Amino acid sequence: MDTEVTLIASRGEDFERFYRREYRQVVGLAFVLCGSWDTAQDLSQEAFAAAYRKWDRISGYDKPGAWVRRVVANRAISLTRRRRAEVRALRSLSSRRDIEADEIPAADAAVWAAVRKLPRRQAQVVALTYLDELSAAEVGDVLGCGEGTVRTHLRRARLALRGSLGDEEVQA
Amino acid sequence: MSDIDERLRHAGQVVRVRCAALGLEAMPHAEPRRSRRRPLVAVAAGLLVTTIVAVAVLGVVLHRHQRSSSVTVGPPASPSQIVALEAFGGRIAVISAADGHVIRVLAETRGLIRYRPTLAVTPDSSAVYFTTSRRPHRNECIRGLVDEVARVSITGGPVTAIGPGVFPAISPDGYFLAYSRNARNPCSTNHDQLVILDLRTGVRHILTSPSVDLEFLSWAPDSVHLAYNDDGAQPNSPRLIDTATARSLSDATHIPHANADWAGFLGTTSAGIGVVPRNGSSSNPARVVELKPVTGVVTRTLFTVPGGLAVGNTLDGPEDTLHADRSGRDVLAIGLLPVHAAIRHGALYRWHDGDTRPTLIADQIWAAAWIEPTAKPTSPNS
Repeated sequence: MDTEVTLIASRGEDFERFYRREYRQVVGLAFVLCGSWDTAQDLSQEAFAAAYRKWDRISGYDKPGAWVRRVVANRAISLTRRRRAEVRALRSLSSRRDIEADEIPAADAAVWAAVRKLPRRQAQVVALTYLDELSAAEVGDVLGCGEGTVRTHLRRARLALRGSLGDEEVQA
Repeated sequence: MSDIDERLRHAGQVVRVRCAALGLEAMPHAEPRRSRRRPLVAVAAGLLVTTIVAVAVLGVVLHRHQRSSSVTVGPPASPSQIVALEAFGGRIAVISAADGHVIRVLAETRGLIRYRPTLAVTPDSSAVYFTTSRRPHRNECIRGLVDEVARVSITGGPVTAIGPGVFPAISPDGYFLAYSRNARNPCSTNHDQLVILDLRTGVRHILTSPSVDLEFLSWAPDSVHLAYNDDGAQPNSPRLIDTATARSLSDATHIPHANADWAGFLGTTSAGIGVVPRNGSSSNPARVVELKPVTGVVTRTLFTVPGGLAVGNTLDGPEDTLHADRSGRDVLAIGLLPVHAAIRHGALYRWHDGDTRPTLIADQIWAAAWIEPTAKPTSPNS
């Protein structure tokens, strides 16, 4: 006789709670680092899928959310992903207007656009600090670096942003 | 400095708010109704078979009660069973089309589904072809995973690897398996090669074009012409190839009248190929039509699916399932995005011709395909 069970993986219970709790914030992180909602959701799905594949191990971590954020932060900035994002964005322009039109205000978009032009580590530190509101120590946990390093990246990022965003205001 | 700090804080707040506005909070998991079922899952996982059966039956009762108050139940579906792939690349199982309960687990993918989860059932419903992923063998590729087409009997048993590739599609006569792959790098997600495997002889007919990226393979009713979308073209291009005579993918022709929005194929109906827009959304309903592949003439509109049920959106997520039965009147679809509050993200729906609303079948599904009612399952070794 066939066994009947509910169609949810046995290990999916804990993971599902984790997914539900973290998904939104991780999409936000991906968005600010890649600039596209489509790609942000792609990246997030990939990161959570990767987490699920390793859930037996990752669920034992103190902060499994940090692992997912690190994956997203690293992938979001890769050149390959940027190219894919451009292709996908072009491809879906006509059919995703409901989402693409749902942009953030121009001033805030400009801030994140400037962040994306920062060196990779600086952009990641800024995103985790100002979007996820993590402390320097927590950012260090996500990125696998020391608190002092995070502070240095943050300081340099602010300096660079002051230059780039200040220039924009002057030009405007 | 403080001005920059303030601007960054504000920009962060705006994105957080926007995430909520996009409806990400409306994930299916967050719906309070489901909490009635969730404890059953936890209990079922740890109990004996007899207890599992009892819990599942109770779950079915709850499910039916829930469905009856929220979605329309259409006329009885002609196919009664579905092959489904769990979310996040879990199990591949035969489930009931009526209530989604698992009838039989066919295979465990160990979570290794990285790209375009696709299921293809043979016309006689004796086997299922699907994509899975594995670590590369030595010298196969340097990094990443290899996507592979695999086969499992509809009754379960061992999984047979066919070879690196994605988008498996079985011809209506059951003689040919088509799939796409990368000619040089099996770890690549760019697929510039079409493989036609003759299942009777094991001979592979390979068609290549370096500028092509094949996706959404779908056979025409004649089992000779194959439709696919060329994602390498800008804009993407629905194309048709005569697999009996073509020497390369350059011989493929653009499907007449098909535009860039017609990027997905929902399989072969009795008269043609179902074609769907790349995405459906609340503002862009997916008009699903049947067309004659060679002429491109639209023979009928199958469905106009409202927002949230469509194809081609995310990697490693529900995306490619919009699968019609042979009549073309009973369509399986996966809820696409959490943006669409009326449709559960990652949930499997059935849309029967004439229904005003889709019928929820099961949650947490990434891909699904009908098992036709005329199917006569054979032994695992067949």
